Amino acid sequence: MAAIVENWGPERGRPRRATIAETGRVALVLASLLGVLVVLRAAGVTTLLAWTLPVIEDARYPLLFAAYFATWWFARRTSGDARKAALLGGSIATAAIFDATFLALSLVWICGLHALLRRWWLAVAYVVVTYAGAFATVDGDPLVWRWGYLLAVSYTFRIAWLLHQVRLHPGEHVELRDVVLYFVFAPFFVIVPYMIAIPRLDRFCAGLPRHDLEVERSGLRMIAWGIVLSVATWVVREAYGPSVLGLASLARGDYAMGFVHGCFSYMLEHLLLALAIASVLVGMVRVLGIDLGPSFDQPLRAQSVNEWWRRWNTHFRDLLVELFYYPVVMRLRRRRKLAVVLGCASVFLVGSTLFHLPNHVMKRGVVTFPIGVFAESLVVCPLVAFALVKNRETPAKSPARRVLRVLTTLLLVYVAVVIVGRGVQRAVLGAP
Amino acid sequence: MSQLRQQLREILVKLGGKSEFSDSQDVFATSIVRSMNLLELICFLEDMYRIEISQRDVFDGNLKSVDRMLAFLVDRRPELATCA
Repeated sequence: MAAIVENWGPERGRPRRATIAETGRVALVLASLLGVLVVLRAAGVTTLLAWTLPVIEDARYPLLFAAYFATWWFARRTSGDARKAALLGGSIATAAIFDATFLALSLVWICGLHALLRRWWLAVAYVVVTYAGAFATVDGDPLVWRWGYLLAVSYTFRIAWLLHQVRLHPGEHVELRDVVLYFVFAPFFVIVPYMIAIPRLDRFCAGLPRHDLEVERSGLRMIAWGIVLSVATWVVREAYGPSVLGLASLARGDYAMGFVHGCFSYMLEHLLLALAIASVLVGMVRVLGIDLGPSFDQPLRAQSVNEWWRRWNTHFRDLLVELFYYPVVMRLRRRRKLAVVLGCASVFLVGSTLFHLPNHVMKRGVVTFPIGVFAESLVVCPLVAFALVKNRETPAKSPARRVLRVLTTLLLVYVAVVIVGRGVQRAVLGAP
Repeated sequence: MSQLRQQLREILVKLGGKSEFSDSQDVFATSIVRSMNLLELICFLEDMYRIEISQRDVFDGNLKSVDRMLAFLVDRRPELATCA
């Protein structure tokens, strides 16, 4: 019975056994999917960039995918502490292939953060000082900039969850190994995430000691779906190319067609690409056994801006809601309308702007206010607050009305994000 | 059905406008409880059962379903166990 690998099914609390043959089948599927991604990346069909600058050299992708696969392979055959050790070893190897200097600096920084977690305010001060230091050296040494940039785009959101959960459960000890894994988890060095695929610390830690076959299978499906969406985005770009046509229209002063092409570019290129990359990354996280829900809950079906906000980037939304919405509304809960309005203002105008700031600064190399995001929030915030106060959502009954609502929502989001947000940013800062 | 359980179901039906849900069903996932009426629910529970509900109680999923609310209330006010 050496060929039996012990696994635990989700929420059943009893062992689920997978044979070596089954492991072999999953390995074949996973290797094929990763192989397809490598080929698509090399052929320029997908960038594998999740709203980030290109921080990975082309030649490293096959190695990174191989290291990720090895991490999965060795971790799958173990459980408990041995599984955590396998995940840690594989993740550190993947991070070393990504950038050894970045890994070394990260490990030192994470150990420092972990040492201060028992004194929450000191941990917060440590994080604030780190960001201040990164901002101060933004136009200095490229190595320091690189670490600061990746801190800004990738670590920021996990730092927020970690500090939030430690504050909520002050007596609970968080193991250093878990915290290290939380930050240097293998998939996050194959696709560096910005705002997407943000696991809560508690759910992340719950997935570390045991392998879950159902979670793994759904992860494979998500990777496959991400590949389909990536190819679809490429087909749209090659066959239609709305972004190119939009820019060309604007260049010749045809603003109406520029608006139309821009709208299609936003929906068919920008949004589909985000859904594709997020699906692949969340799938890769799930294949390693972490029960992380999808980053996007079919946002293109949203029938109102409020619903869009619920479906779009759910991990970031959850983070903002827990950090900025509940503290306000719980304090003002006896004055419900005021609570909801101020809660929304707190989420959009304070939280969202604050979370966009590190990337905004590190990407541009100068410390400026993210005016574009703030302007976008000024438009979205009253729409969401009004819908929440109204507290009534009646889905459209006829298909035609549903389609009309979906298109109106997409148009409103496009106007808020692209026309207002990016427009204001370009007007004020002179850059998109 | 216990008196406490019945009260909880009644307030959820009143808040969410739906009566077809089980006691173990996630009231957030089924949109019975949303942002605005969550505050109404919290105020109702605080006033009715003379307890204080914190952010942590909400995050820990104590208001997630009728069953969880029931367990939470009994935990806070053990004397309610007789009505549960």
